[in-house]
Amino acid sequence: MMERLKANKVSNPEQFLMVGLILLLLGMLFGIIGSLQYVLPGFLKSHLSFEKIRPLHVSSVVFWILMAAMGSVLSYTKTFTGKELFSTRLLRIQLWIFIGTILLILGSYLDGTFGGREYWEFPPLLSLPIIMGWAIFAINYLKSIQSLRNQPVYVWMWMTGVVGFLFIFVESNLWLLPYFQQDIIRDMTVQWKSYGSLVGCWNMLIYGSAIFLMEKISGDQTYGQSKMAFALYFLGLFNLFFNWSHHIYTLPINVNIKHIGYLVSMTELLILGRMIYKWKGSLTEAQRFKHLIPFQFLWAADIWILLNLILAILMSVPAINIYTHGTHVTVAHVMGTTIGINTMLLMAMCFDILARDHHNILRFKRQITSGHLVVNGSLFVFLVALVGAGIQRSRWQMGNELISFSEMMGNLVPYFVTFAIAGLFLFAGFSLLIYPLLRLFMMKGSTYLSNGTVNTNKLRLDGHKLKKKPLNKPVAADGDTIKQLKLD
Amino acid sequence: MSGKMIWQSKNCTACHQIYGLGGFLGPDLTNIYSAKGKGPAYIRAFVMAGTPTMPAFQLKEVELTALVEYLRHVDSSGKADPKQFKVNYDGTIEGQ
Repeated sequence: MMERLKANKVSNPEQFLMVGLILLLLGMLFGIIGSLQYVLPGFLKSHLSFEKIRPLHVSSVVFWILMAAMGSVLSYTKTFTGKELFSTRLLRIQLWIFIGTILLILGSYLDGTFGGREYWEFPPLLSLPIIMGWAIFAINYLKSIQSLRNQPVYVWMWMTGVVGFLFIFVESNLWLLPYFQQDIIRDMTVQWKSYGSLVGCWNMLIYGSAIFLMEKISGDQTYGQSKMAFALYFLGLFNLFFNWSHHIYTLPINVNIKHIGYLVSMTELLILGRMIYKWKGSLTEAQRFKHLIPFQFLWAADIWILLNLILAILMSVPAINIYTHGTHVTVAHVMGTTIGINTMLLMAMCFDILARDHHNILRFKRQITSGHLVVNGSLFVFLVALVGAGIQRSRWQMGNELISFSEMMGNLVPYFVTFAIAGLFLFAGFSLLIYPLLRLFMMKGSTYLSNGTVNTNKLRLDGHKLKKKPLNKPVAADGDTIKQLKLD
Repeated sequence: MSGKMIWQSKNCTACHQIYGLGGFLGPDLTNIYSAKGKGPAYIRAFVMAGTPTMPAFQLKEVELTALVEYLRHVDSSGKADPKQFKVNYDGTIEGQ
């Protein structure tokens, strides 16, 4: 006889994804306010001036990326190993450390209490719980995987991201030491070295999860063990460690550091070349899987990777960089990669992990398709507006016109208005995508029977119960099932 | 509090850049200390009075002096003007 079902009080990776999605919505709201402050000088200045709004926006979206990346890695680690993580208790502690710290960080910004640096503007003391929470993540992941021997590339990528982030986040706090704090050039060099590598680490988590997801969708496990996969992994690692000086070509640093950054950055041409070479094959693959919601996001990310890689490689050439550095072209690069690549890939994982019951998600299919179109269309306009503003600013920076900074910014208003409107549409599009996931999460109840088995009680939105479905079975949006990934 | 910590505690980098790194709502301040027609008095005026976009930071005299001294230190580290660089055929640049 079935035991009385107990409500699930155990944290699980899905909760990381949900917190991340809420932060994404918040981050976009703060972003809209920030864009309005470009267009309407003084807008909300007395309570939420730009020096508060910018970090509110940036930290919200950075923690969206980190929370969703952690949730994806933890969820896929469970799937990959075929068992629970090393410690559910550690998972719970990690979750609440991050939730508590993020709330404190956002609260400090609202209060106008800073003390940190660009992208980590919060009081430096709040770095400690981030380090603690991430260390717990690292312990749980490494103990769950147990061995790296004969593992596919995504396990290595996750390990790199998990361990690397911890060390490099500590490095990004070296400015607290007088040796670094007292010399602006030394300080900024270490700052931007650490920032470049931190982004590389979270990319390892996200791209590793994307490779795992693609294997799950296709049923083909050979790529993860292939020489090409590992070659690209090592290329990424090489860039993570050595390409960072492309952020600081204009600083008075040793010229050899600039040359190394330039040469290493140009190795990404290999990735671009491979993407172009494999383009025809990827079109065939797209035809095969285009009906799958997670794949639609992977495919969109692929296109954004191509466009952003071209821009990034161009910006990494010092001779071009002196024109783009300090302009909105840099913003276009940051937004293009965090939204077009990172967020698209993470949305693929959110839909895969949170929306496994295809019957419920089908109800939102039209909304998801609309959201997809609105997001990608508005993102394109958003980025074009930023590049346009950047080109105009670059002309002012490099030219001999004697107009003032404020006059130059006045000339950019049409670009800022376009950017703000596109931002509103981006928010609307993402809301269309996130709403079904929020609904599904609220309705879904994972329950534990006292005999130790799991009964996933999926409810249709009209209240009728569905037949029990096995966990982790990838399904298509039109109801066809796909071969389940076989685990060794 | 040192000028650098005042810069960070008021989050000046949200709007301003040093060597082109920072926010883009305001101008680059790397060489504001030695720029023609600008300098310490100019810096003080903007910090205390603000603009339609920039808040008026009511700093104490000791804080304002420290912030100006920080910007003097930044200015003495080099020049941020991208026009100073010479471009080579191989894509590298020569400058400071």
